Amino acid sequence: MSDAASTPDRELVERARAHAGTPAGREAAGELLRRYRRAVYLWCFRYVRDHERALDMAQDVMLSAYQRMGEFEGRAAFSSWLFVIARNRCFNEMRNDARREDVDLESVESDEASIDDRIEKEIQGRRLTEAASRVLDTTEQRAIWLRYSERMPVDEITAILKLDHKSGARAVLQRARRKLKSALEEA
Amino acid sequence: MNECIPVDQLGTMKQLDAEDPRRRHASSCPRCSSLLFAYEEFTRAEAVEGANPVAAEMQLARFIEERVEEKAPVRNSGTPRRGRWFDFSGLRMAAAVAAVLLVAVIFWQPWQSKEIVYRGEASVQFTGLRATAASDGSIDVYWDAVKGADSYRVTLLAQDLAEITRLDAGNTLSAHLDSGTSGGPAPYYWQVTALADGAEILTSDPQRSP
Repeated sequence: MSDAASTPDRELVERARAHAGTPAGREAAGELLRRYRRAVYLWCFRYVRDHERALDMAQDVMLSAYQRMGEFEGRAAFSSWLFVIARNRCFNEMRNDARREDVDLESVESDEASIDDRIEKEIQGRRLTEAASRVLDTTEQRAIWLRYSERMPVDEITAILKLDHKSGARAVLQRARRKLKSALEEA
Repeated sequence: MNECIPVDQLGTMKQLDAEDPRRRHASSCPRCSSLLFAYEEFTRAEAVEGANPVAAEMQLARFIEERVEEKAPVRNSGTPRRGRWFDFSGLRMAAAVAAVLLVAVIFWQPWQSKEIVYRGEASVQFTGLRATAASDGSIDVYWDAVKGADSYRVTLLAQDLAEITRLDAGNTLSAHLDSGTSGGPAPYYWQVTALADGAEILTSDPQRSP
């Protein structure tokens, strides 16, 4: 048994890259991925709420991370690099789901559809960021970003933000949308 | 937004001094504080109702062992694995492969053309992603068609994965990126997004330029 289990991520990354393709490199990569397998699975599960599907997605993430480990230059933490791959995989899954259902239930109400579109388009823009910091409280900001940037299902936002209210994140999102709509129209 | 923290740098935030401008920015910027919150949730890996992390950890450990570490499934060890009804080895393996091939040829009937039936689901991963570099610093990038897509968009990313620019590739399966387009020093990254009626249906992982 090697000392891999007690080795810091950074050293394992170096070992995996320096000995790529050899048993030592594969063992280092395996240990790195083993450390985060629970996190990756649970993150995927939050999006799809299905064990088998989340497991498939987690396997894709693991394999993708392993195949691309040569590109990881070690300037960032391995966990945040893996997080990028996992969230990308989850985004793609959510997009496919949305296409299959052909409708986003959050956008059904027509009076909310236009502000939803604007938030979607402006999620990376300075105006939305400024408006959000000015008019939304911390919970509302997180709910908006989890929904529109992380594309997380509403029920999961309720759980992750530990919202006890009966209508959970749905009510928080509705309130935040109204505030943002007013703020963006005033601007 | 210029000082916003790239997603793959979130893991370094805790190591920064409390007075570091990046950390102060993260606490006041809705985008960065929310992203940081999401990343910390990811690393915390708290139990989620309905999930089965114990079973998942076992299955993923086996997956990593077999696909990454390339270790053969353990046999005759002190703690036996769940039983398999077969045990391929030597001649039995060869006989089994021959039998499978025979059955496949009989039922597949490769000499008859068959209609391909799709399940109607979009691909979940891009395939055929590759890039070739020219001596003038430009690169050509290529990808395979994605079922259901009617156009593609190529996004250039800096070394920290921040977006530099986007190019509409129309319905072609390649794009030419010159050094002026990249806007920054190599290596940079590129990713391609498949679109249908203007809506994004699939985005590749970032690919490093050659």
